[in-house]
Amino acid sequence: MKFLALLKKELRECLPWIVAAAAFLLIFGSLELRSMVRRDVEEYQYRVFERYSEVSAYDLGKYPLGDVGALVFISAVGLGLALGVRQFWVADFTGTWGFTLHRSTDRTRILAAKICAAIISLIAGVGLVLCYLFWRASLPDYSPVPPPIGFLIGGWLICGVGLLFYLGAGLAGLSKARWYTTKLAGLGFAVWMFFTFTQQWTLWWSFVTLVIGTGVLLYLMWETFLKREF
Amino acid sequence: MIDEVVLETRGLTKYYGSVFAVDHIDLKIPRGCICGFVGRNAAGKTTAIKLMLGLLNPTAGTSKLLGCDSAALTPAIRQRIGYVTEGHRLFGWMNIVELERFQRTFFPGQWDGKFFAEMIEYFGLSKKQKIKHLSNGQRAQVSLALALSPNPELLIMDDPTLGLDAAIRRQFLSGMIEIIMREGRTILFSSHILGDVERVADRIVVIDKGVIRADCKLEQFRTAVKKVILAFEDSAPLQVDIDGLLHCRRSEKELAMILVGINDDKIAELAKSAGAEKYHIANMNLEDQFIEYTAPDGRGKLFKWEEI
Amino acid sequence: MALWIQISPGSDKPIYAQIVEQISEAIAKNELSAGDKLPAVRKLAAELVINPNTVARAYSFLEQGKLVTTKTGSGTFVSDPRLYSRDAADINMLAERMDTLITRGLNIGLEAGDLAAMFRDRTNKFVSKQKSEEKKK
Repeated sequence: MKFLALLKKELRECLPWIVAAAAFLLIFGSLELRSMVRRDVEEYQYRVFERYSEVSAYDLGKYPLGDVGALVFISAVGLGLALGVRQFWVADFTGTWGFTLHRSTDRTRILAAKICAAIISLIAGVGLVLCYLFWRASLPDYSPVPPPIGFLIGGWLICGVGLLFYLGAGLAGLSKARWYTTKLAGLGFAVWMFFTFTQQWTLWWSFVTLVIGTGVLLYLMWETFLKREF
Repeated sequence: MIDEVVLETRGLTKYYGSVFAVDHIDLKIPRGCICGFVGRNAAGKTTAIKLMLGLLNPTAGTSKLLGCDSAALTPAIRQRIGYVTEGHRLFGWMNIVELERFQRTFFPGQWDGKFFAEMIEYFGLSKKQKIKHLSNGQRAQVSLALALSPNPELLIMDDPTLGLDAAIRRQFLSGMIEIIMREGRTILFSSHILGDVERVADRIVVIDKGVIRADCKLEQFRTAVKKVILAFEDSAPLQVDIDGLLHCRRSEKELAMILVGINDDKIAELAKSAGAEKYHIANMNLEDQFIEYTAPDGRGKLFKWEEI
Repeated sequence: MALWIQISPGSDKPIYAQIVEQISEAIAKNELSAGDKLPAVRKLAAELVINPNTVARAYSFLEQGKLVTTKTGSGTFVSDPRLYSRDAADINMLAERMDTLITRGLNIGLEAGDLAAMFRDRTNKFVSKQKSEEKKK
């Protein structure tokens, strides 16, 4: 009950950003799909993938759904940053940490509610819209060959990148260091992991990168949140 | 249970760089006590309260609420403590109904919904109003209702009446009195408004530059801090050496002394031995006493209030 | 029910002393007569927005001065003046207070005769007010 109440509160605060990201992706993604039609048919004929694992994250920027892929990056990263700021920076300005943290529940649970809300937000704001766009792109009126499932999986991994940036922004918000010292370290780490992610040859390795990056940031965030002074 | 200490700090210290925000404070608040925590601006009141609630980490010393260490307050203990934050900060986007629903989830079996509804109605607030559309005073009212409705054993309030108009302040105090009348409730509130402290508190703790200067019953403070003016025939002496002298101001033929814990008979003796022609014990209200007590010239002096 | 009691916290007189003073005066002026019930501690505290202990202290002080008596379970009542046992201490205290007033009076330049007359007049005024209050009842 308590966790749900916290989760509901966090989700409600994330809602405007979910809507913004979803709208952005839906509108521009749909526009992109309309413009592609038969543009890259020949490319498809040369590069038909049999196994999705042959698609790399880098490829996602090159192929038909690829332009949409760039949009997915933008909305996932944008949403991630917005959520990080909303959950961890705003409370400093509004002075509401005291009210939030003096609760009959552990601080870990309060943090867990925030993170769950962020994950749900990324799924709803980016992941689901991506599924819709993928389904649209699979329809015969868009391309002769349906895009490989790898694109969809890749797209979902990009949501994971959004999570990395969320955690990075959150850590930056929680850090009490100066701007020019370690305050942005978490965000810097997220950026580094993002570049590493895109340089992997296969989606599998991108996934592994994501898991490691997220794991590190999650641990750091948990430790910081528990010890931080409000 | 009777003399149980509800709030205890030992050598609680917090410093930022080289500045002591809170300097080795020792407090023992028993159950049922209504304690007014007073001090000038930036005396360390908010820092001390945040340390007690585990929102800040102490540099040294310990703090315990209801027997539990402040750095590790369990959910069960937090459920027994009400906290009104400085500025009554609440979630702006929620309306009163949503806030109530949120708050009551954390006090299962303890929440008095009827009391909350009555308070909101008494304050003339509409349930559908969003917090961000309320004035400071209205937000304070909601904040008070949210803090009192779980019927907490220990209520900690950080400057709850700051910036509120006289009528709303009075309502706030009424709410506190309501709590006081319930058995075994303890309140610690910091305040700048000595009149409020005088109405409601039975104990006063004076903090100045992070140091506790007084910790005693309110009536004790009221009777102990005295202003005595000695008038001299010729010129007043440059200084007088008296145990219990806080500070002293000299004009040509008069000496105005602030004495702590000296009874009237002894004052008469002192006046005589100092060679004064006449002496006069001035009337001071609590605000005067507080101002004199926390004046910079007397800052270094600490009194043993247990012995006064 | 004694809603006329007013206190002001910023005064140099402690709150309980203000309550004591007002009730004492009311008893002296016969606005409160023997057997009248004083408001319950909690009720008065809620009304004046002060700590109930302060009201309790005031009542306790009045009781020490024998102006009121508390019957456990029933409340606090104004005492019957006939039950006052004036002891030497009471008379002494009164004499001391009179001395203070006499000193003040002489210090501001009043003649002894004028001072005594002033005393007499005011006492008479008080008593006649008492009688008219009684007549009202």
